Amino acid sequence: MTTRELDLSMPLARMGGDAQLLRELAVLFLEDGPRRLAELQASLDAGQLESASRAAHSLYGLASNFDAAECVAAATSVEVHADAADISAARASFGALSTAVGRLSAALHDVLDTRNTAPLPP
Amino acid sequence: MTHTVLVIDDDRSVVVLVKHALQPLAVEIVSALSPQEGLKLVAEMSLDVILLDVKMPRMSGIEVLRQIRETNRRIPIILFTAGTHSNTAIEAMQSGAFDFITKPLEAERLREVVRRALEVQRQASVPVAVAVEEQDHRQEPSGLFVGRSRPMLEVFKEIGRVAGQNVTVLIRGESGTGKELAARAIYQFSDRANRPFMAVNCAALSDTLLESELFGHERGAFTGAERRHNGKFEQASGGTLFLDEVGDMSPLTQGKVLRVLQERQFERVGGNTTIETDVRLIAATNRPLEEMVESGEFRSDLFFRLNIVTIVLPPLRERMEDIPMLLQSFLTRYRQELNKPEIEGISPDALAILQQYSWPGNVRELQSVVRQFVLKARSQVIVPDDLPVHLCENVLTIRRVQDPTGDDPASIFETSEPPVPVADSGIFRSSLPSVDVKRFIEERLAAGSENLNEECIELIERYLYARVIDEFGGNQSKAARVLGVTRGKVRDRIAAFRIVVGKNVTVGAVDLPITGEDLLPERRSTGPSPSA
Repeated sequence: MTTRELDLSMPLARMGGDAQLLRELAVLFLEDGPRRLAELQASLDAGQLESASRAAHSLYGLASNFDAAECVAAATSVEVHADAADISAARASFGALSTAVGRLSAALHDVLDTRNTAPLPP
Repeated sequence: MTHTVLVIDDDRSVVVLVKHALQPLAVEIVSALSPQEGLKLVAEMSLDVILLDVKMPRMSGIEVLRQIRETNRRIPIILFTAGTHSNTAIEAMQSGAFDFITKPLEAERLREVVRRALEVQRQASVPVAVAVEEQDHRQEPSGLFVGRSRPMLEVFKEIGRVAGQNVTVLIRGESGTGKELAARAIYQFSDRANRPFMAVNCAALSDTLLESELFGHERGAFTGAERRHNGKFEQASGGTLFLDEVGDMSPLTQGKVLRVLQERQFERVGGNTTIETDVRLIAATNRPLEEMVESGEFRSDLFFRLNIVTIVLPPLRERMEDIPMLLQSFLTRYRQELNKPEIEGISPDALAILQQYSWPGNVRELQSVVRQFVLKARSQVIVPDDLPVHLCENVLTIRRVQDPTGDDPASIFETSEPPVPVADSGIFRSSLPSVDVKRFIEERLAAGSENLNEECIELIERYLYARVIDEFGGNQSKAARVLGVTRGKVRDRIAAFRIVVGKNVTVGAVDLPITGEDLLPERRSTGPSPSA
């Protein structure tokens, strides 16, 4: 996903045009997104469906702030499979989610213009 | 006083978003990133609103909600969820959530819901204006037949006078005024109280069926009459027969009923045997029988037979002082029936709206409204937010701003600030909400309105004209000059909006003025007050 593909007009409208708030949420995604993804992977590896579902749900929530459809859809898929106790399907969906989180992170980095610097403090 | 809002969500971006979104409300935000931490804060702190995520580690938001509700039924709890499953929403509301917001969160919507929750909390914290009855003293079936107003006392007296007399009684009154209850009261206090009471609604049956229902039929009298049927005049012999909507009977049935009244005998449909009956007849109608006699729709001889004793039930708008008592009676009943033991009463603000409404459907409508708001209630006190929207739309009152600098037009749209007391108005009027355009638009949008432009303009015009006319004590010429319109236009608007000029100018889609002196028939006016 590139910055151009990331349409932030609706998210900005939901936040009442508060660009600073959107930036703060982007920073939080860059901090929490990869952490949640790692938690999800660990849960899937350990076959812990409940915590896998929660981690996927958190990623869903984080990504939905930016209307990041690809990431939201992939997180939903993992969560649904985990809730249905289908560990192999959940694991199979993880790859797509991981890619989507990476693409969204890159796009948000661009937005923040911090690709090569440390994330802004929250 | 600063209000405190607790956010319980394991996603810290939600906490950040809530802090930004609620900044204009000047509330203090405390947060908890886990259910356990949240429950601890609930136990330790004095909170005004709780925002709670549904899906969290180790304990669901619904479970947290239930735990909080075990000890605190008052605090409004708003749930967040990322999902769109209806069962979560249903479960949440069932568990006592104030409202439910889906993620991704929208700042404006969140602010609005929290503002409403705070307002409900404020209204619910003042002493209730109408409390539920501790013990149910109602005596069925006339329990609904309550009132202490002068018109109702007259009705009770009249019932007392005629109940013991074996005379036909005609009960008149608008739909929903309780005509059958009056009939039952007459029956209960009559010498026939231990004999049958039967009721037939003449408007609910076709001519043929009504005839058969009243007089019975012989076997084979018509297709489908497989066995003999005794009619109500036969079954109720020795007792009382209540004929509701008597103005809707066909001329043929009118003739037969007249014969029973005159000769106390009749024949079943398709039969030759004359049957004697001893029935006391109580009839009721909301139709203009005199006019129907004039136009030949109703037999004059039957009318005179029925019209020996007439009891007229007043419409609710002519006995507004009975509203608190009626509300108490219905509230107590529905709290029990609908299993809402937490409900304690009705807030002064909500009562004010209920007392300003014109109740075209009379007591039956009020009963239905109480049922609705008991079902909808989200806290222990019924507040304006729980009332059906049409009640608030139809009522608009002038709030005189005593602050001489209070000329900011925007101030009329505010609902969150406490009402300004008005020296010469009733205690209820002064606390009515002012025009809330935003809410009105939102609600009309949600209702799928296709005429919003006109509806909005009318809403503003109603307020504007009433306010300006009030400003000049009902003087239309002065009002016209300030408004920049002709006197004719002012007159036209007064009539169109049913603006009533009294001690206070009131306005609304009402047929009659609202309370106190304005209720007297001679005070009904669409023109200026005598003092104007």
